[in-house]
Amino acid sequence: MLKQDFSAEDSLLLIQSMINNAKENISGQTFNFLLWGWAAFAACVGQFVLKVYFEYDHHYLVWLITIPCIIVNIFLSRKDKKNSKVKTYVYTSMSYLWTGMGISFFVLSMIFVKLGWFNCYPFFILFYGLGAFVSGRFLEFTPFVVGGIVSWCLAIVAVWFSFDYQALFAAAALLFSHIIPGHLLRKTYSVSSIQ
Amino acid sequence: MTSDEDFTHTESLTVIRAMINKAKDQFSENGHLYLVWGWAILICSIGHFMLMKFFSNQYASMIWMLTWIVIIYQTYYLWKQGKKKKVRTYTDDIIGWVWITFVILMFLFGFLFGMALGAQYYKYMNVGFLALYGMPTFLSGVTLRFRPLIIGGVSCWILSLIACFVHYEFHLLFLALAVIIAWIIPGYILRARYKQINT
Repeated sequence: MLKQDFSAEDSLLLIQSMINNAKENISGQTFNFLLWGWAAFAACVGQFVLKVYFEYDHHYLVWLITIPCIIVNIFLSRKDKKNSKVKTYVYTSMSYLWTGMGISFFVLSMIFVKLGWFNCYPFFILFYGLGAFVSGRFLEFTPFVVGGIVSWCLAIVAVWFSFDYQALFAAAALLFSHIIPGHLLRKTYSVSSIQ
Repeated sequence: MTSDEDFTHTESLTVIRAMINKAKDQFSENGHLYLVWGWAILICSIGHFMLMKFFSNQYASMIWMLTWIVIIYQTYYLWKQGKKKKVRTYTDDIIGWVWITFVILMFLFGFLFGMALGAQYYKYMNVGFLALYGMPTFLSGVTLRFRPLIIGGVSCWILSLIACFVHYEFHLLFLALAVIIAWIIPGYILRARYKQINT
């Protein structure tokens, strides 16, 4: 039925326009993405500083920074749900990807509750890479793909270092997989939308 | 370039649905791989458990070498399928990349567990793998809007959480249960649907 109405080129163009729509759509939502990237980055660096330089026993408390992020996230998601009328297929897939990422992080955290938190960072870095790499392929946005691969390399190297320095590797992974591509996506599409 | 104005909302939705359906049809062919991998992991995990528990075989883990045969078969199967396939949809690409990422992460996870836990790696490796299985299964399910795979993905995560509190010897049975729910059952449903469509 549809095969006769649309040529292969029409279909490809439609898919491309869907991807571009999703990119523009997501570039407007990068606030959440960058919020998480910067918050986790600050927590990793903060934990390193508190543990190594101040020798503070409760250095892990720095991760409480994620609680206000969760609240902001829920608030913005609700607002977004109310405002946006049409969601593209790619946009929805991206939402599910990051829902899955959230669940995976939770499950992984539970494993480390049992296993002990030492050596947790390389595994979290692997998942940062997963989210970035798959997002890059969904959106056809190379900086995310590169960020994902860099994260995986950082995870392999991080395992040779002590827990303290693994936190810095995680910060670097967040920089390459979330922060830099997030800002680039935002910049690229805010510029193209102005033009 | 074709823009949104050329398509009405209903037309766009129909095309998108057609893309998903098209991929679903093609995916049911690939559903074969769900069954192949599902059964392979099921046999290996149950076999490993039985050899270890009932025969105290110190080489019990060698049963996993069987998966290399499956990898060779899969490579041949995908090569053959690639020759047959004329059109690749966006959904095909997404699912392809999700599973490629999964394979990369399986190797990296294994490496990290070995490095991080040393000789004790086996105690938590299968729990980690269970957590990992959830992601591609869940994402394939939502991409294809195919509920059995979504349920399978979520089940993997739940089983991973429960397995944390169970002795490591039994993690292999959790793995077996996970592949039944996440891959074997959805694989048979997809196969039945494919046969129905093609008869």
